[in-house]
Amino acid sequence: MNNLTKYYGRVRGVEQLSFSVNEGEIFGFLGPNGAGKTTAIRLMLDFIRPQSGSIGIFGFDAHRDAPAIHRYIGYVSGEPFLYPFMRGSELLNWLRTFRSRSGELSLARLCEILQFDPKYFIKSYSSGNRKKLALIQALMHRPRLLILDEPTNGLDPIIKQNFYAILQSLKQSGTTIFFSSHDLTEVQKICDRVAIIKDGRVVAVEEVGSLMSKSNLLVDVTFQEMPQEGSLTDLTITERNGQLVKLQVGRSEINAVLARLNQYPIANITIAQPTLEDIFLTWYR
Amino acid sequence: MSLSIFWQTVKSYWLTICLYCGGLLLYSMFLTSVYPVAKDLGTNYTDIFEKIPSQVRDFMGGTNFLSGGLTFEGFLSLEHLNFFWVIAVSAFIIGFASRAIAGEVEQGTIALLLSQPVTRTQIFLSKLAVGVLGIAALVGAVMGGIIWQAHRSDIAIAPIEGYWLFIGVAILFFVSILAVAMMFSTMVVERGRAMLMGLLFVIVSFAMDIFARLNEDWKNLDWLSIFKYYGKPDAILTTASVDDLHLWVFIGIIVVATVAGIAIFNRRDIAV
Repeated sequence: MNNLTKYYGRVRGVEQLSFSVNEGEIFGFLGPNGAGKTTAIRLMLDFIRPQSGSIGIFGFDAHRDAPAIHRYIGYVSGEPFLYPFMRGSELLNWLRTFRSRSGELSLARLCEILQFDPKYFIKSYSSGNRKKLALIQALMHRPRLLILDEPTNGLDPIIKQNFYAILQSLKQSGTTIFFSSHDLTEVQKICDRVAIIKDGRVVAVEEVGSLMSKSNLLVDVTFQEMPQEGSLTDLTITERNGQLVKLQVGRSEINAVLARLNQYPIANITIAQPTLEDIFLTWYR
Repeated sequence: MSLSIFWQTVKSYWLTICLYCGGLLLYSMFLTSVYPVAKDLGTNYTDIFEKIPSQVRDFMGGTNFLSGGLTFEGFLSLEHLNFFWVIAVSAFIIGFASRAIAGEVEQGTIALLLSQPVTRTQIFLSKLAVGVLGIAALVGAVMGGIIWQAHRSDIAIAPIEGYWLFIGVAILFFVSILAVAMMFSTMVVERGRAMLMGLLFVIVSFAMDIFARLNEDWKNLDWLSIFKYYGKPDAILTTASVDDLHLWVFIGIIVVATVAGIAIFNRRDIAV
């Protein structure tokens, strides 16, 4: 994506959005509601057109060559809207006719892994089963690029694990996965790199491990006696609760900070790596 | 055109089309079987129409029967082909067209179609083609029902060439309405709004056709009404002739509305 700007009338969708996704990686796309995640996905799929900027996918232009690109894309929207009066199997068999069937994944196997029975009318499925159907239709043709918008919403924990396994297996076979999610735990677990989007702009693109290793450590100290007011003001305190003080400490400063804290009687201290959620929240605080 | 979308749309509409066809076929056969009774009534039947103002009578069609006697084609025109079936088929067309694009956008299912390797033009044309197929089926059911029942009841009908020509005119007329309704369907995101726009097009056309007959000052209004080009069914059926201009107007409407519909659909954002 190169300098993409999209406004809906006066409402900002994305603004000068630029980032790239490497072939064969699982790329997490993080941001709260209204940050511009879905707008970016709609632009990738050519549902909407930008005021400026361009998107290239596999060397094609996302707008001009949309049908050619879609041959290689599997897409699951945040809330999949499917034809209610079709049966699950009918929908899948119909969607199979749009692409070459060589190399496609076994429908029966996908249904088995995701524990989905396609013989019923879509209107009778729960939201979780509709999500499974949407996932199967996106996965079945073994896409080169899988665009997933909140794909695990409504799935139970066992199915989620099975789904992650499918993603890993697709990744092994070269599929690129664009994964937009609110669930930072799953992003941390499965993504190679992440982009954080804020107010329509990308504020960070980093490997998950690197992002976490560069981030401040989380230090929770419980003092036996609370230090005098004003004695720790030079430290980055995120929370005070009774004798408990929570700090964020840069990795290069940890020894100095521990020495400072050691001047006071300490009842307990923990030093933790930040989770992706902690890092994400620091961008939004 | 995408055959996948075409056949899937046919599958989802075949029951509706069959029900419409069945209803119109039965109604057409019923009216045909009633004709001998109307003919036997002689002037008692035509007297009713003599009491109606000439402008309204002219609008109702079948104008020749007052002087030349009640023909089968005049009866059909008056009771069926000039008004009733136009309303019935238009209702199908507007319902179909509003669902074809605006309905998919409103329901969100358009996202599934747009993420497949097909162009928006293919989506539009595939749906349009199913609409044309539906119209051909409905026109076929009506005219088939009429001819079949006339044959069964030994009713003398005008030469078959007139019937073939009328089938062609009717298909062009209804496809014109379909193309316009499809164009409206690409403009909005709600099915109800698309339906309203299609209905307004037919109603305004209809109203202009009536006003043009009511007042000499308004007579040129009928050039703006699609009903002017539909003409009088009994005249087409009996003379097997039609003004070429009318056919070109229909073709023009179909081409312009289709091109405009495709252009609008291709240019617009679909935020689903």
